[in-house]
Amino acid sequence: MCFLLGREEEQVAKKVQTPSKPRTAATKDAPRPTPKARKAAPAATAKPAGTRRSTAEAEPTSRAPGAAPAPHPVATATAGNEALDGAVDSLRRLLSELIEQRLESVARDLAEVRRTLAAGGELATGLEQLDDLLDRLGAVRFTAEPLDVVDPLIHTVVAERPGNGAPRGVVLEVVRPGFRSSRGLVLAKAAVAVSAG
Amino acid sequence: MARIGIDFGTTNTVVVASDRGRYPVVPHAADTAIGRIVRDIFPSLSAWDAERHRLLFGPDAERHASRGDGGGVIRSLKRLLRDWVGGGRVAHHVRPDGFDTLELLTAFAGALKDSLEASGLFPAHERFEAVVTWPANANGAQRWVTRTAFRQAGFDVIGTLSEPAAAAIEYANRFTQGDRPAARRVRATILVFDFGGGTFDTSLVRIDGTEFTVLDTAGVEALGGDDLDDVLARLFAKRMRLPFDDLSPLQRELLAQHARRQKEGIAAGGVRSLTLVPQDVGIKAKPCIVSVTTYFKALGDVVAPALDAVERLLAGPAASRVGVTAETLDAIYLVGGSSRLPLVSKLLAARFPGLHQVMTDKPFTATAMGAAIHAADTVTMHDILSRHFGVIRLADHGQREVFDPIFPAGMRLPARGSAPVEHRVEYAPRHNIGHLRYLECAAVDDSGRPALGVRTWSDVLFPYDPAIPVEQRVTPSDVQDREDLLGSAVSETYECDGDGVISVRVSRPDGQSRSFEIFRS
Repeated sequence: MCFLLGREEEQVAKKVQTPSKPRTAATKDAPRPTPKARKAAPAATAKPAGTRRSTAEAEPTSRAPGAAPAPHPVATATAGNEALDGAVDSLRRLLSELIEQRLESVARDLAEVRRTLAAGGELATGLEQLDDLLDRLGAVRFTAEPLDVVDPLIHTVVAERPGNGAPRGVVLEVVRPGFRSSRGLVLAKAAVAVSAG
Repeated sequence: MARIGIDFGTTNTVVVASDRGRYPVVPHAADTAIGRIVRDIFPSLSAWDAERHRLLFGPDAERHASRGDGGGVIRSLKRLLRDWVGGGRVAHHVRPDGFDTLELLTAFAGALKDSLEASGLFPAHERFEAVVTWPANANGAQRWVTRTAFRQAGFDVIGTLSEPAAAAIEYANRFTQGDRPAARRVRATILVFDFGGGTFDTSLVRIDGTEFTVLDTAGVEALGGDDLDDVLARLFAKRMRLPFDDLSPLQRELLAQHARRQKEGIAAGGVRSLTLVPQDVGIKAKPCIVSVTTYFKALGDVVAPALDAVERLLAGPAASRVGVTAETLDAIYLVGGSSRLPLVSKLLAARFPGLHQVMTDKPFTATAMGAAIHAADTVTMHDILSRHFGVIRLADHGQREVFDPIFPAGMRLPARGSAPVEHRVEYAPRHNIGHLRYLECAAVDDSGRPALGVRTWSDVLFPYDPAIPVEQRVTPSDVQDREDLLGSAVSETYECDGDGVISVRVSRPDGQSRSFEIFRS
């Protein structure tokens, strides 16, 4: 999931990236196909919401004598629906392309991290590259201040060290930064070393 | 009115709202040093702040757990409910006199409601109409106390669902993308494999468009992610050559948390070994490593009961009635955080080679989403009673005790809004006071005796003798033989509602009667 997308966009994105659908039967009484055939069968499709016919717009109106007859109301509605269908399809295609481009970009960056690690690169370097990627995606980096009280909601304790006077359980050092999304969802807690007291 | 689905989990509680065909997860906000953060979960955690004499819930309890000596924390409240008998108290390890279970759960539900109200997703003072989920094999008292607590906390509980049934609804929604015409055409029989933090449930579910029918269900009460963490924590202790039970409660807690993080790393993929720096969990020892292979080997026996339950369902009468086998089943749907462990998928494939596995893309929210869809009244669920419910009666002139099943396991529960299922028993009494001892069990043996997962519930004492007022408090020691009452007739009328909550009305010949909620006390 791309957290740069808002909730509405996510919903649309999910609709665009339609996964394989379950086996369906056209009618309740239709014989059930064999499991293999059902697995291969394409899903029954339905018109997306928003293409519902509007009868209100198709009400006939009065016209002057001799004037050209108004288009048949059903024909008007059909033409309107087709235009709407076309607009929805265009929007879907556009969104689909945008999402695909964004995902490709992220995938390219991830592949780069993978190459670094596969070539025997340091884990720390790989992690830094991932942190940069998160920055580019708009995630907000956060750390902790020394002597902050550990908060399990935003910190993960990865080490306990002698405190040299610092009270037990306070942050001594941030080992890795944390990240949150713009709406405040913690994507990665900050890894911290804490005082053993 | 806001319609919501609540998945009250062992580790976390997730709430999903129903919003005109969309089902957003309700975010829970918390103020931290980096500002306000939101999370999709509300930890199912309670803690007793002994200094201020107050209970803490959710994120506040989580913070409390991370401080001090780790004491005062009540984890897995849902597991405690499983063993609860009406009126019982729990969590004596936190406070010597423990807590009243119903009060504790009500307070937790109240904190959850406060968090929902603070989410900004709902208008102020909005009423919540909720569908609450519970394990498929939840016992009667567990169902009663959960429903009652959420009601007392101010939720309008408009329905309940078993967790696998909710996941089945989400499964259908996932593939039809919320498209109603497409949803009406779905025909499938699936098996939901719900491996959560504290329970394992599996249900065979038939999907006929928007009609869902639970055909059969099975579960393992004491199997969940907590057990998988425990195995790894013990392996680490063994590597450090330390007896696990000799560790302090805090060390065990930190070790369990570390084990959970390591386990989640495996689920994320690519991990071959699990490491522990003992100092990080307050133990002085050398760093140690447990290979994922060793861990999975140790888990084989732990996970086996879940696979056995699947096998039982697929070989059971319900599966054969609809002609379903491992090969012809449309899919096994893996939900719950613990299902993400690659071992689960591997073991399923090894035991049932023809099974078509579908892993949820929402391991933590699928159940709540199914509940929210159900709350929106777009689907109908036909669930079943997962346990036999009955009463112990005397036979052969009081010489022998027999189990008289009132509502058998597998009985179809009434759909939401329908009238309860009724069962009436009439007999001639032999005593002045009827002593009705109720129990539930997961199975009965060939001779009709309770055989598995037996839970006894509160006894009901009812005066058959017209000389004793029905409201008078009587005890088992007051029971006497009264052959002279044999000529009269008393009746017991049982009602089982859509949530599987059972009540009885006992009547005697003088027209006097009294009602009892079986699971209450």
